[in-house]
Amino acid sequence: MRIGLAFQLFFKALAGGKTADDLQAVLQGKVSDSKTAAASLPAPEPKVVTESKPVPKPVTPIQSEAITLLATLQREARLIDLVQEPLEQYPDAQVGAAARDVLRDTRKVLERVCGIKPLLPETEGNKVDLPTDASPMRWKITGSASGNKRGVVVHPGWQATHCQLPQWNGNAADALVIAPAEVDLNA
Amino acid sequence: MSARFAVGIDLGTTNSVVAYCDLAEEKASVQLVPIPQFVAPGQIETFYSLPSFLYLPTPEQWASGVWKLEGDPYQNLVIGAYARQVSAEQPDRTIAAAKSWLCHSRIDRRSPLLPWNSNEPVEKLSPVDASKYLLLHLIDAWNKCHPDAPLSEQKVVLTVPASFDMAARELTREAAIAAGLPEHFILLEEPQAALYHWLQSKGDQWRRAVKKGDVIFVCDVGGGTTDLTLVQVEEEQGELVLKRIAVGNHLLVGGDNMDLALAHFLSQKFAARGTKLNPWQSVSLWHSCRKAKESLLTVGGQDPQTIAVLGRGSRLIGGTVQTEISRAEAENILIDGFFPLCPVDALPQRQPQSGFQEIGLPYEHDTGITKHIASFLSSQSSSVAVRPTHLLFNGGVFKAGAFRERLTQVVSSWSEAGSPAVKVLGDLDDLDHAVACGAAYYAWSTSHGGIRIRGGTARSYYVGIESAGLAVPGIPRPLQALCVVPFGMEEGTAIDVQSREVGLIVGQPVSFRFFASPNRKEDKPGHMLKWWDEEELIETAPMELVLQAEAVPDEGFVPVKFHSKITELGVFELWCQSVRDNQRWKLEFNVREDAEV
Repeated sequence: MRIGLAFQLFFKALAGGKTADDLQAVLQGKVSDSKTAAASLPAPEPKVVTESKPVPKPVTPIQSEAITLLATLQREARLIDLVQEPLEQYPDAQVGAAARDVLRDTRKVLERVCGIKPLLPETEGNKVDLPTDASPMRWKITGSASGNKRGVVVHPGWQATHCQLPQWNGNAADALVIAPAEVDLNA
Repeated sequence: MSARFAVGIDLGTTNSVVAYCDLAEEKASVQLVPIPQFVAPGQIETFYSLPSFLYLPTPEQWASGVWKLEGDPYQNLVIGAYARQVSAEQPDRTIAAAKSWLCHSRIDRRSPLLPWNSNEPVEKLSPVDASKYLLLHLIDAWNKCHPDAPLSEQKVVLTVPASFDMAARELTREAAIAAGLPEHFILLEEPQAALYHWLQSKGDQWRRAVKKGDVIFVCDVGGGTTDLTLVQVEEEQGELVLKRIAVGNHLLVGGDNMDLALAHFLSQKFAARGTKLNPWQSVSLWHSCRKAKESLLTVGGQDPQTIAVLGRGSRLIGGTVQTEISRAEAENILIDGFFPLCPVDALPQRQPQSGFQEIGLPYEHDTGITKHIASFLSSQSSSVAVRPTHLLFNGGVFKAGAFRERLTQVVSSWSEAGSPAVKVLGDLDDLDHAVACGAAYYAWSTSHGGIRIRGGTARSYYVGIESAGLAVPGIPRPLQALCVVPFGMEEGTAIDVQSREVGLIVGQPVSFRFFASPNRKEDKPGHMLKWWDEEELIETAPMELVLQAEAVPDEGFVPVKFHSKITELGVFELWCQSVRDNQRWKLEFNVREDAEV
């Protein structure tokens, strides 16, 4: 069925007109409401994309967003320093003293970059009704599923409300650097 | 081309913000401009404020291309979050508080001397240029999000501290025009902008919040400076009007002092336990104090709180040192140190005068902000101090409720017995952005007939004239001060100063010493002062002009009188008007040399 749709889209795109313009907008990510776009116009197979319009290669090297996030967490919260340090040699109090600041700053970064908030408005222990088409990505259901559509929230889940990472414009050779080496010339 | 947007720019000492609204809207809805800036080499992040710091990278660093901002608004500079982050570690390569240097009359503000006392081979910038580059960054941010409406074509209001004198305002204007602000932008005092923000949030309801005779005290404590303003509510033809009646002197004390005071206290605690902090740890401690300042004063928060200085290098846990601070200690340092209880006739301690005073920013000797406020309120009249009825807070410091409560308590304690308690105006949600938003609203309201705070000049101004008489070697001739601008002279007015004639010498620079007074409100233009208190008249940059020989007859001098003018945009002009014909010449501020040294 998808292949059929893809071919339809392919020919519509070739023919031009409104559908073609819409497709172009979807491909360039210009449709503002991504939900409605996804519902009404499923993304075509990648093959069709390359045939109808070759995507130009990015000119500037792009850093993986995962590395950008790690770099931000290290820079502002020193999270990598904390998780890379062997814990066996320290008493809990010493670990706690360092972790408190790191965790506070980590949260601040995540708040700014992702806007993390619970997926459900209901708090733990409260009852909630399952929607009929409960997506397994949103709902992890335990217990008997036979007909019962009401349950207790064990964990309200998490979601990001946005994703705004720093823009990276470094050189390709540095794309995997998380934190620079620090050197003091006066020491 | 006509402007589409009203734009307010808050060029702050520590943070800058740009706000705007659509001029076509019938009801102003103000938004903030996102400002992209470097947070690390090659990492650009966007915030709604720009730390007013400039970092000067080495030529090699710059050449590597990691500091390249799209569109190249400037070269060899990094401005914003990264510059602030490294400012403590690399003071020789960062410029901070350029704005405070702009109103420092003992230095040449157009010569490259920042970073102050830098030992690095950097290409230094003048305070005017540093301000220009900050504005360039802000203009670039605007143009990036409004590519079809360049800032040079919009209606722009730029804010300045109320305490800025004429010369500092003129330099701000110079920097702004050089950066590309439209020729006809308006200068607005920051505390007034904060009040406009409150007026906007209230709509027409503000008339119910205050009544005739009320006095609103706007207290703006920013990162590095404190700015004070009094606005009186008056009634004209049955309508309430607002009149700015006084502004305080430029006070170099603010939130940064509080962080430092806290850090200093804690480093002594560390030392007492045998932990000596190295310079890097001290900087780190200072940052920790900045973050902890608010939570330390929160009622019902943890007590005592732990302050940790994380280990340097990748040995984070092993290198971490920590100490505790109790709420009582924090209150003692921050609240009693900066907002001490004091009577209304309290006086701040003056800087001890010594023969060798290091030239640098003239930081306040006394950090008791309430004492500065008391002295400000008392100096407004010779008989009784002004008693404010309302308080409007501004500046990030007041995010901590304890500071707001203490200041309200102190100001209330100065009210006469039996009078109602001092009321606090405004919400807390916008302490960081109120000035820019208020400025944008003001720009919008000038073409939508909104309320306007009146007040004119916040000072009276004087030119120094040497009295004639026998010259005594080694002793300067006695100086008299001629009032050329009275207190409260309104924008868009001009005055012929009635006085004796003054002879202008032809062909060589003529320089007049220039003075300002915040509290001589009765002096009329033409009034000649033979004697004054040193505290009363403050010398600012001198004004000068060169009279070309061909312009005048041959006696070698021209008898003139003064003519002063303040344009609609708040630009001050002082002219010498020939008494013989219609010729006149404009005096310019000379900020190149120090009048005192």
